[in-house]
Amino acid sequence: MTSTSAPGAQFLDPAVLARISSLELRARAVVEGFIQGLHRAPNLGASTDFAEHRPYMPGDDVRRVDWRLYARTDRYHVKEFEADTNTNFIVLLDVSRSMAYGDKLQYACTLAACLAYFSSLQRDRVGLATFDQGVVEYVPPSAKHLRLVLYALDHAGASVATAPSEKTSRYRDVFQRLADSVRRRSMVAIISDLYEEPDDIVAAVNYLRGRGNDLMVLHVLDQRELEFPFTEASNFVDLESGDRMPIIPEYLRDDYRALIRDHMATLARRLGGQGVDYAHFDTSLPMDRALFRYLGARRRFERSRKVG
Amino acid sequence: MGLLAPAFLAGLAAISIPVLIHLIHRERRETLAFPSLMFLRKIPYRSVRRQKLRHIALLVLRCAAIAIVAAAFARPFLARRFAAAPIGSDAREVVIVLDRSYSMAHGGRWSRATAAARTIARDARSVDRVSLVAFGSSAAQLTEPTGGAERVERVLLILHPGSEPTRYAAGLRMAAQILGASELPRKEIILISDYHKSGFSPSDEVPLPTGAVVKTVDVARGETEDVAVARVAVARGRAREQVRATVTARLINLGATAQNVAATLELSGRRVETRRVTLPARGSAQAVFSAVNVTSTATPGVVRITPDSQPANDAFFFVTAEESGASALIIEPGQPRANQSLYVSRALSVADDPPVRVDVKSASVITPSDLRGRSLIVVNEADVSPGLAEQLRASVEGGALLLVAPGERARISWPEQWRARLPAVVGAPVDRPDGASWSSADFSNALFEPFRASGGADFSSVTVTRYRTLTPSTDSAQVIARLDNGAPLLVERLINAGRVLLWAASLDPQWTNLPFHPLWVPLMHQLARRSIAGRESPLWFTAPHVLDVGGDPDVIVETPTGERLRGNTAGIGDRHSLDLRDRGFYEVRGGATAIGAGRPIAVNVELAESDLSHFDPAELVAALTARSQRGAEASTRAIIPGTVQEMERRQSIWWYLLLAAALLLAAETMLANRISTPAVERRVVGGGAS
Repeated sequence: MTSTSAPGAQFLDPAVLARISSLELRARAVVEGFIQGLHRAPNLGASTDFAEHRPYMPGDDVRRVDWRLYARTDRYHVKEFEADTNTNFIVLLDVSRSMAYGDKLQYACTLAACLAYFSSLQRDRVGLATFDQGVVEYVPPSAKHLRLVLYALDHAGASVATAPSEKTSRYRDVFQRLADSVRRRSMVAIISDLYEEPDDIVAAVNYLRGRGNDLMVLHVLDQRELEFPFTEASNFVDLESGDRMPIIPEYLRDDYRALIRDHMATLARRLGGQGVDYAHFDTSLPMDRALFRYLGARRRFERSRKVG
Repeated sequence: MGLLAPAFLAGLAAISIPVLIHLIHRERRETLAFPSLMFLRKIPYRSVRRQKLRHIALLVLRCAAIAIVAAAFARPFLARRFAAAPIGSDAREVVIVLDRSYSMAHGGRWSRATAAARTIARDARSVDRVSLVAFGSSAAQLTEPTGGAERVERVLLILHPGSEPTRYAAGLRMAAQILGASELPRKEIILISDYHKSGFSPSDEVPLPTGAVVKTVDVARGETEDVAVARVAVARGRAREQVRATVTARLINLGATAQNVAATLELSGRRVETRRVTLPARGSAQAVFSAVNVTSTATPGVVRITPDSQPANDAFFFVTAEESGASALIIEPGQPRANQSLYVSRALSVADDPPVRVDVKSASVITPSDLRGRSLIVVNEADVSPGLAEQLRASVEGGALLLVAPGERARISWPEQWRARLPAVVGAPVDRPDGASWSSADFSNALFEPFRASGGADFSSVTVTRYRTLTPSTDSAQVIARLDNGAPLLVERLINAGRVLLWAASLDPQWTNLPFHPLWVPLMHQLARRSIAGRESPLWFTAPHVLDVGGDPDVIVETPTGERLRGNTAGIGDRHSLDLRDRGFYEVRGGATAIGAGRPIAVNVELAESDLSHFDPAELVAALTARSQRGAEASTRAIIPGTVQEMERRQSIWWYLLLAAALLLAAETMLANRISTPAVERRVVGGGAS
């Protein structure tokens, strides 16, 4: 698991983030904290294509001041370069009822916002699609759609379906439809709890991957879904289907833990085999690891594009 | 360990309630939202019938609280506190000090006391030694320490309350002696009594051995009702040469409610009269019976009332006899002066307390029968023949008072044995024409004791113009009055039970003005009173009392309990003393006297013992231990349960049990709160998700 000891990691603590109501501020806090932690790592874009000058604004890096222009005009101007890429970055966010368990949806939204904000900083085109049984909301990728994306994420909680699902495999339909919508090669981040059989998930992911998209699957789970810490014998209600099942947790705990770990291991193996980056996230842990995953995926994407 | 209310143990069944609650609560399932049952469905279905108790600690606390409450209401007590002691070097010397004063006969006190003593004896271990001491006003050790508990139980079967009052010091002293002689390491005195207030005086000194422990068993139960015959008065009168006596009984009601009782007078065992008397609460009343003729012989009488819870004071015994008084004989010479004995005889005959029968006879005509029964004999200047001297000696030794006035006519030719018995040698007459005054008197002598208040001033006006010189002849002679020149005026000598007084002047106005003096008549009356001192027979005695029954070796005493005492069985020296300890009539008679014809002696109980005042045994223990073990090993006091009722009053275990139950319930509340809090939090989280 990732370490939280890096500088700036305090901005990534879920407990701290939970106190920031604005999703944008939350995303900025995460990303900027993350960037500070990287000590301005050179991974940020290294484009040399000049685009335009713009007036210096407080906060701009003084190294980007065009001193020659200053000598001529006696004013501070900053050089703007062309974006290093025109990459599409699309977040596919699962807003099904199972994501409403605990802080899972909030965590997923924050994660999506962070990735979108980070991408936007690098002048990527940012898009969003929320889905449950079908596509709930779709924001097409654009360099100017960060606000829309954040707005859609802010309202993702209200989008949670009210009716129980009856479908057994929803990813395939949704991803197939989205693959048709996204015509350009994109980076696609799928954020979901992945309560479906690995075969179905892999098949659904393949629709996207088959269009040349670079995929990363962020598997978000609540800690209770992993540990099954319940002690009281209870009637467990499936948030997706509404089914009820009398459960004595202490008798099923070990089997459950083994099954979900096997599920995660299967997904990691199968998706990794398909070239899909898979990562599991516990909502009680910081989300900086997601950003590392994003950067790694983006580098791979750049390389593959140059090669392509 | 025993239980006073074992029925409350049925409350233990209530333990099933928390058990059922814990089981039933286990079955109440909550609804819990979960993201997906996908994995749970994959787990093979198992049907489990699960009746597992949860929160075992909570259940145990609840069951324990119910069990303790049920046990507390069952009122447990420790019935065998002694038996629990380990056997070893802690062998005990136990002295059971049992009060058998007559107040112990009240209600069920005696049965409770013997039951407690029996319990103590039975609970003693084989290494312990137990002895029994019974006491009233005196104490007696009834069993030896080595006699064993069985011996104590046998004695208890035949032991009954006596007629004596309570004197705790007597019983405790004897117990202390027994403990002092014991070599056993633990010494205990167990005092079983009704703790009658009159029997305990804080000034009683009872030196207890070091380490001795005093334990108490109180058998009083707050008895408050009792009616007693407190006293009987017999007023005598004469009617037609017949002596009649009017008996008046004073009855007291010690209880808080008024009582109506029947008082019956019995004389010589025959019922004479019955009167009903109403007694106010805590008050008294008199029962006056009609006058009855009495004979010259002593007649036993009893006043009885309706028997109540205290029988010892429901009858009052007395003896009624013909009026008795002093009997004086004045012996004068064959040819006396005119009015020589007039002043003496007149002064004596007018006395009424006691009345004095006076006879004046010439010395020459005196016979032994004239002297028999005389308490006062006056030899008024009379010649004393050897025969008369011998008769006078016998009378004096029998207790008579002899006053001798030699006067003018006294002869030096008195027989030697007569002169030897006089307190002084009679010398020649001495004239004091100026009149010698009576300067001093020995007011410590009973004869002059009533005149002590005057300080002798009254005698100083008595003048003597002529007197005989008196020289005390023996060391036993005592000059009790002197003239202003120091010459003895009156000399006294004791001879056995009697006494002889020798007067230096005359008993008429010949030599002194005393017969005309205001002191003359009182002095003569005091002389008569003195002559019968100790000889009057009281109507009754109060137990305990030691009575002199004379020196007859053949004397037989019948006690109220039917016991017969003979000769010197109760003798002290050459005279027999009778220890009056039982209420009722004793009969003292000679060996040849028929049964019933002897002298009756009435004995009653001490009325103070009828008082129902009770004191805390702790006072007695505190007084004994504080005095006897000051600075030494501290004595402990413990209350030994005598009966189940006593245990109920004393036991206090159930309070501690209730306290323990309260603490358990408090712990249960805290634990239940701690257990329930996380569940609530979980439900809030789960509810928010769904």
